[in-house]
This record gives sequence, C-alpha cells and structure tokens, in this order.
Amino acid sequence: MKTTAATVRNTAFRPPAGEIPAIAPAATIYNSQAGSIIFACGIVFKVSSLPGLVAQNLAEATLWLYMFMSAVDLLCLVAIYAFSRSGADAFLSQTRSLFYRVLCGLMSLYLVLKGFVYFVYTVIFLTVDLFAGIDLYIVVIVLAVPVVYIGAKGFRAVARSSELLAPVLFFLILLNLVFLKTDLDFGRNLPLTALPPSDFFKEGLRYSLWLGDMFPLLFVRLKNKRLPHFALGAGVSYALVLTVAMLAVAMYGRALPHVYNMLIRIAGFNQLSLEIGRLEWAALFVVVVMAVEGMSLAVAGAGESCRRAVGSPVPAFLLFATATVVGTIAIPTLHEVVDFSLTPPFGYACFGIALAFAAAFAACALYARHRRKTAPDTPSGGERHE
Amino acid sequence: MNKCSAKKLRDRFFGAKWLVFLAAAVVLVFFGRVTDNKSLSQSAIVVGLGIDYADSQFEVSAEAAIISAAAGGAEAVTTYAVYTAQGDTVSGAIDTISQQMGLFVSLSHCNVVIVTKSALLAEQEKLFSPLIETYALPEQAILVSCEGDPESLLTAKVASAATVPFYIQAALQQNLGSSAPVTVKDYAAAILSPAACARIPLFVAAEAANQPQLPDGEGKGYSDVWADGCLVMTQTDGFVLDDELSRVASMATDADFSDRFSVAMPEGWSAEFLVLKADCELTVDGTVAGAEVALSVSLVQAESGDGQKTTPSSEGARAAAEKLGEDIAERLRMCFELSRERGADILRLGNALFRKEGYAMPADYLSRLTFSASVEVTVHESS
Repeated sequence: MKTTAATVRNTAFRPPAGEIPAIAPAATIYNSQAGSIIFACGIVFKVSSLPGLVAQNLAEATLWLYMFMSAVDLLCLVAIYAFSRSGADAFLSQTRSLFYRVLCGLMSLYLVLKGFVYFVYTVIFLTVDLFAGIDLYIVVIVLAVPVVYIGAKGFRAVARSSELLAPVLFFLILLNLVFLKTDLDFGRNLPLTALPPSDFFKEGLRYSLWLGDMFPLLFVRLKNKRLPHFALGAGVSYALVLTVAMLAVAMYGRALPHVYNMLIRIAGFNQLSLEIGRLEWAALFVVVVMAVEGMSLAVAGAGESCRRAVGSPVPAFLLFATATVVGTIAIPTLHEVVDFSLTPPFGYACFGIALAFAAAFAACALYARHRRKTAPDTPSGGERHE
Repeated sequence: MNKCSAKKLRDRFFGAKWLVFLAAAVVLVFFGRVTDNKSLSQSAIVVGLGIDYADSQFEVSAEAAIISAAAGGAEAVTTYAVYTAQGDTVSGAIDTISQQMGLFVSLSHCNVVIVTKSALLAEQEKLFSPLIETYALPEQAILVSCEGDPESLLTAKVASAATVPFYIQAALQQNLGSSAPVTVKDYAAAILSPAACARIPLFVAAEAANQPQLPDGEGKGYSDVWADGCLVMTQTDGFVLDDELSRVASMATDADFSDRFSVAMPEGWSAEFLVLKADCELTVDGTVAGAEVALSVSLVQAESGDGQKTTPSSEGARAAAEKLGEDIAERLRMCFELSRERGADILRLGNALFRKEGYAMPADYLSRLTFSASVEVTVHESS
C-alpha cells in the first residue's frame, strides 16, 4: 500500500472490499496547519468589532471579560484537541452512534448560525465602513462565493490557505502594533472592580457567540510535527486578542463604544502614515481575509458535522448559502441581526451551548480512549509525523 | 490512477471550479462598474474645519485647498478658501458646503478642528462620529477652540504658514502652546472618563501689532495667532482656564510635557527655566488627594540687577528653582480649588480615584477630597 503524508489511513479500520464506508474519513491536517487555522480563522471577529460592542456595557472591564472568555475558549480548545486526537470521531462514525449523530446535527446548526451572524457583521463592515452607498446584494454575492466555495472544498483548502496566509497576516498586525503612535493610558484598564461581579457576568455573558470558533477542528485528524504547533498557534492567537483588547481600552477608555473596528483603528494610528499615507488598507486586507477564512472554516465544519449526522454535507452548505444570500437581502435592517446576537438570552444560550458541546465531545473522547484500552483494534485519531 | 478516474477528476475540476471563477469574475466586473468611488478631482481637500453652534443651528466653516491648473508650463498654484454654511446638523452644513464648492468634502487630510464651547455642549463627543464615519476625519486630528467664531480664526492671515490650521498644527506639535495637543480621540476618552473633564487648547487671533516685512514690502492684513490658555469642558459646562493654570494642569496630566516657566524673585530679578522632564504622580487615597511632581529643568536665562552671571549651579539658580516649585505647587492648589468651584475635575483626580474604588466611587468625590501638592525642581546643566 502506498502511503502519502496527506492520506494516512488506519488499516484496521478499512472496510471490507466491495463495501462503501458509511462516513468518509476525517480530513488529516498537520498540527502546524491547525495552529495556522486557529490564528487565521479564530481571532478576527474578537479583535475587530467585539471590543467596541463589549465596551458598551462593560467599559473599563472589557479586558477582564476578554481574559475570562479566553480562558473559557481555551477550555473548549482543549476539549477539541483531545477529541481530534482520540479517534472518537472515526469510532462513533463507524458505529453510527445515534447520540453522536444528534450531537453533530446540533453542531452543524450551531456553526451555520455562527457563520451567518459573522457574515452579517462582515457585510455591515463592508457597506458601512468601506463602500457606503453600494447595493447590498453585490457585497453579499462577492463575499458569499469565496466563503461557500472554500468551505465546500473542505478542511484541506482552509488549512492550506491558512498556512500560507497566517505569516503574512501576523506580520501585518505586528507591523501595525510596533509602529503604533498614539496617546495610551494602560491604567484605563483598571480597576478589576469597575463593575459589581453580578453585573460583570450578567452583561459579559451576552457576548458568548464569540466562543467556540474552533469547534470545526473537532472533525479533523491531526498529524503532529516535532514542535507543538497547535499550542503555539493558540498561544499566539490569544495573546494577540488580549493585547488588542488591552490597547483598545488604553487608547479609547470609555469612548471605545464609538469604535466599529479596532484592528482598523490600530492601523490608523501608525507613525509611518506621515511617510507612506494612511495605513488602514493594511488592516483592511487582514480583516477581510481573516473574515473569509473564519467563515469558510465555519462552513466546512458545518458540512462535516452535517455529513456525520445525515450522511451528506450538502444540506449544511445549502442552508448557509440560503441564509447568507437570501437572508441578508431579505432582512430590512441587518443591524437587527447584530442587536439580536447581543441580547442577554441569546448570549447566555450560546455560553451554555459552547460549554455543553465541549463537555459532550470531551466525554466522547474519554469514551473512545476507554474503548481503545478494552478493544485494541479501535483506531487512533492522530499520528506523529517526523 | 486509471484513465477513467482521471477523466472524471478533470471533468469535475473544469466543471465546478472554473464555473465558480467565471461567476465570480462576472460579478466582480459588474461590481466594479457600479461602485461610486469619487476621484480626487471631485473631492475638496479640507485642511481645517470649524464648528460653532448658535440659534439651534450648527455653523460649519471648511478651509479647502484649491489647486489651480496652469497652462503653458507654469506650475500649479494652491490657494486656500474658507466656505461657511449653516445646518440643523453638522452633516447637513457640510453637504451645503459641498454644494457651494461643487465638490465632495473630504476630511481625510483635515488635521485641525476648531470647535467652540457651544458646539461641544450641544453634542459633546457625538459631534465627531458622523465626521469620522462619513467624511473620513482622522481620529488623530487636533482639536482646538477659540473665543470668537471659528470662521474668523480660519480666515486669519499668518505670515509663517500657508494657513492657520498648518500654523496651529506646527505650533502644538512643537509644544509652543500652554497645553499639549489634544486629538479627537483623546477628547472623547477624556470627556467620557470617570473624571468627565477635558481640556483643549484655546487659540486667539488679532491683527498683528507689527506687520511682517515681506520681500515686496510691509505686509498688510496679517494677524498674530497664539495659544492663550485652554477651554475646560465637562458634560454640562465649559470655561476658559488662563495660561498659567493651563500649563500646570497640562504638566500634571499630559505625557511628554515640555514648556518654559518664568519665576520672579522677591529681590527683583527673574529667571526662566525650560522643562526637560516632568514626572507628576496624582494619587488619591480615600479622601486625601495629592500631586507629587519631580521637575528636571535647565536654566535658560536669569537677569539679576547686580550684573553677576547666574549659572545653573549658583545659589541664585537654586533659589529660583525653589521659588518655581512653590509657584507650581500653588498653581496646582488653585486648579483644585477651581475644580471644586466649577465642578470640573481639571486635574482628573477622578480617574485616579476610580482605579482604586471602582464602582464604589462617589459621584460627589470632588467635594470630599482634600488636596496637597509637592514639587521638587532639579536644575541640570544641559538643555
């Protein structure tokens, strides 16, 4: 049998000759690609529009909420990593577990919803900040085509494009931060008791939609390289998110709610602007590319989870395409979607759903590990690549 | 891979991928034809903006660069014109200016915004939101105020710069005013902070007492423009702070402060010091507020009546430095008293208190605080 780096399969799990496997095996990506995905797909919506939205209700406590949410998100990421390395996906798919199929169906719906809301945010940004006065359907079509196409191509397309773009995007963000020149007061992030604890959680949890952006990685198989790229990617990403949140409050204080896109603003206060003109374009490229990558990952994840639920990814793709193309044009005011996504009940539900998914998939990982100990033929999920 | 599957793969590739690309290209071409990007020749480059509010209307003045095309190989000439219009909103007034000029107003190169107290009281930081979002006003545009109407300041003729906004920008960036430059972003952050108080430099224009001597002879109609104190703004009130108090307030709250202080000695002689570095720490502990200032200065000039040369290490310089410290401490106390009198936290003690107390900070903290100031001045040899 010829073995290639990208198509390693466990021979113990090959179905008998003549039989078509019930579910296609999970896409196999390197942990370096996964690390790139975490950066390129997982942070843009946290560092662009979210700081201004959070500051509307939390003001100086914005950074503390970011730290709390990042900790919760990291917990979800640990569950994701454990699940993808455990081989539970292959096992539960092969056994056609009803619980797993229902779980994946719910995950598919969740990712479609998340992708749709992110799509609306991106459309609003493009039509309000950039191309004011342009017809909405043009922006929707131009944005939806690459998102659905990359998502439908699958995780390998997202992984390879992320791997190529992540260094460029990181370099651009770093350049903007290094050459930032503006009045800063880091003391604006204090104190920790800017809000009573009850108000902090009551207002803070409404932003829980931004949790669990990496749930699509549940359905990949990781091939580890020598370095822990997954952890490195997560570390760099969350460090950047917290840095931007801290800078946002230090720069604007209580004026932060007036900021629509923090990443663009950071680029605007660039001391190179005097020499080479306003540098917002550098951040615009970052925001648009990362937004497309992030939404594509959600679409790919929705498709894979739908495949595990009903046997085909097409319903998820159709649902997402319909929601984004038809829904955004049919809804009279897209800000209604934004307002709904920030309501406390929706936020609390998202918080509970994200933790429930993390717990459920972690339980599946433990179950698969237990079964591997008792039944050695059960396949493992990750393989080391030297 | 056998021929059959290779053919299938190729058909799929050409069938799906290129169809998608073709569709995207068609949409993009269509998209490119319907965008309405305004070219540079259709935009008015505004270099300075003035906003006033009176009789329930906003009066907006915009100083725009007019580039005249030249024929016969002559160089293009840039002149500046001020257009003024009224409107129920700032955006409405700017639209009227666009109609007057026949060009779309672009604030992307507007580095100076002149606002009056009445305009700020009308809308505070919300005044700038439409300018930033719709007209591309940079958030790092400098904010200044004036006592009269902004149009008079914008139309003043100065000899040292092409326009008043250029002069103001250069003067503030070189710390030639009694207050550090304040950007639109900084104003919004300050007025919305727990201290709820912002200060912006105040500029005054008057006919030049001595007209400049130009190559063609003595100039006519030139004005002197200078910074004279600052405008202190709260959410409900605004007042002018004089030059002396404005300097010490700026020293206490602004980073990178650099200015000159003069001190008059009881013996009849005076000295001038240049501030090299000012470290000011404002602390609030319960109801006790304090300012501890460490100033590093260099002796610029000392005029004594006895003809003795005053050096930085002389007793005279040390005495003058000590007197300077006492004067600055007294001015800081005056700032605090004025804060309590006017309900405006000039020294922004509320921010320091909020960082300790958080949401438990009382709303009437200014009336509960006692204030003390200590200033230590060290004279250095270098300037």
